[in-house]
Amino acid sequence: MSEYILDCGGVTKRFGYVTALNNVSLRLTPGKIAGLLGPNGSGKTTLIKIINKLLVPDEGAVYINGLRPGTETKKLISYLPDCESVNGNMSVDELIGLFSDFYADFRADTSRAMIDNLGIDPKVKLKTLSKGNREKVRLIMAMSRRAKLYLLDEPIGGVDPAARDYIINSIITNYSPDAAVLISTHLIADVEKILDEVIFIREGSVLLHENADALREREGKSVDAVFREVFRC
Amino acid sequence: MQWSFSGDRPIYAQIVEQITRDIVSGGLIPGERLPSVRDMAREAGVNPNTMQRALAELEREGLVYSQRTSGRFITENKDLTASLKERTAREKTGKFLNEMLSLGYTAEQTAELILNYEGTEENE
Amino acid sequence: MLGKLIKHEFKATKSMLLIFAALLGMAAVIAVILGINIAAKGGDALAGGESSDVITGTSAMIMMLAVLAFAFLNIFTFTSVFIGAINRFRTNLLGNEGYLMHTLPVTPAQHIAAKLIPAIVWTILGIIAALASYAIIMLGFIPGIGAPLPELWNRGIDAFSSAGEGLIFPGAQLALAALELLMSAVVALAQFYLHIYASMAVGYSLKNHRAAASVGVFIVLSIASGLLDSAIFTPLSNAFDNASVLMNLETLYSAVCAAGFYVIAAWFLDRRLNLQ
Repeated sequence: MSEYILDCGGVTKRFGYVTALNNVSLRLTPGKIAGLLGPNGSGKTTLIKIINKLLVPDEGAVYINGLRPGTETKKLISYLPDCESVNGNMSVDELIGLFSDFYADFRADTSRAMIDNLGIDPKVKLKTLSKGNREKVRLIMAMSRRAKLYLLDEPIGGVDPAARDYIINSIITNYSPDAAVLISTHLIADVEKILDEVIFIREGSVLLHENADALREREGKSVDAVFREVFRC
Repeated sequence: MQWSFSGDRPIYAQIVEQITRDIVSGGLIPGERLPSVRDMAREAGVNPNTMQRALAELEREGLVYSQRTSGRFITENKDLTASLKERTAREKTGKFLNEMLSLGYTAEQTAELILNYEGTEENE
Repeated sequence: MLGKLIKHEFKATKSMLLIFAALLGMAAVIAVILGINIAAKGGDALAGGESSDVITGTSAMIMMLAVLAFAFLNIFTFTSVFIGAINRFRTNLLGNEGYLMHTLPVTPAQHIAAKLIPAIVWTILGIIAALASYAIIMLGFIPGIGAPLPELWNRGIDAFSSAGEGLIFPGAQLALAALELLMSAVVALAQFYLHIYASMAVGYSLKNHRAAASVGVFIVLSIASGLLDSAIFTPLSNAFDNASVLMNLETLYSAVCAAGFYVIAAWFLDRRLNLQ
């Protein structure tokens, strides 16, 4: 079980009458960057929340490095959520202070260097920054951790192409053969080159989980093209 | 290096092709030291494992060799690069000739075109 | 970890101090206005002149406005402290910030404690600031610093010392009374805030109408704890006659309620968190 950084088995989650995740199994080994690809509402965020223990599954089990979701796994996971999760009244310095206090694997000097490169003043409040810069700050925080599992929920949604390149660049730079990265997105064309593995998810079920190049070879198409075919409305 | 990928073929294969092309054209010099896998992956915008796989393939073909502590280098085997150059030239010629043939030109007519070539109208 | 959480919580809510400073500042302004007015009439109000001589006309207007402003500022201060604490819990643990907070390697129980302790501290500081502001105003009744103030002090101290009779040394009476007061205040505040936290933790586990549901849960929990209170203490107060023992038992009951609310809040944050 511990050879997998992430081991989800038979995960099911219902909200009232809606089944958001239906018997989902997913395993990631270290050193892999995987894409969790599906349209909005397919269950990607629900799965990520369960891994983070922001939700508990109705059935099935999740193991991170062999541990069930809890305080110990939160130390191993670096999570970049899809929303503005930081209070706007905090300054970058205060945010760095928070991460340094709670995460032993956080590298403050790396984060400061990256913030500096963007020309952001670490003393000003986050709410004075542009939305794009705020998102980059949050990305830098997540990427400055030496975590075992990185969960990036829609990291490139709604950003300009230059920012997209910056984000992709950060993910590659941060690559570690000891860690796994799970990128959840519906914008496949922009990220598919950095993915080792791709996972298609629709309406709570996993349709495929395959090596990206193998998929390209087999289908003779880009992952994006295959996705469009599979998820055609 | 300028990288350009089409999504419909395995990325690692395209990396192999592009590095091969650069070696043949002289963009990469024999004995030149390549950047780290991570740096190359970053430049190309690809997954480091994919870049690693491509480099392993190039090593297998003998176009690249690695020294454990100093990194990866372009081969200095001139015979290998020369034969590769020739093979690439042959492939390109064959492809070109086929295209000309489908336009209705014979090989001799094509050869004459080549010898008298002074640029297209766009260049004047 | 809890210590760090509390540290960050105080840092994030330090604007409370501004409100207290405003309150004290306002009190000082009023004291000065009073002092000027009274000095102008040549006497001090408490020493026993007729109050009708003391202030009239435009100075009366200014006085009225100052007192009104002070009253508002008092209300504003306490409202700010309570609403601030409640809102802080909601936005930081149940809103978007929850995505950051609940993925820190910290238990929900620690999160609740880190919200509760600063809330209690700010509330008590607020009360102290209010008392201090009244004291400052009292100073205004003296043209120069002097007579009536010691008198007030002495009356206050007499009241306290009668509360702790039979103890070994004089200072202890005051200290013990103050301590008992502080403890029951802390327990009462803890129960109050945890009641609200538990209501929100339950209410926000729903998908819709979360705020309304929180209010509903608050009412249900109020009724439940109230019924339990009567059930236990009505027969008890008939059996016992000792007021101070009953009071201590009530405080104990409050503490138990507080603990119950804590457990509810922690369980819902742990197993029923529903960030949107």
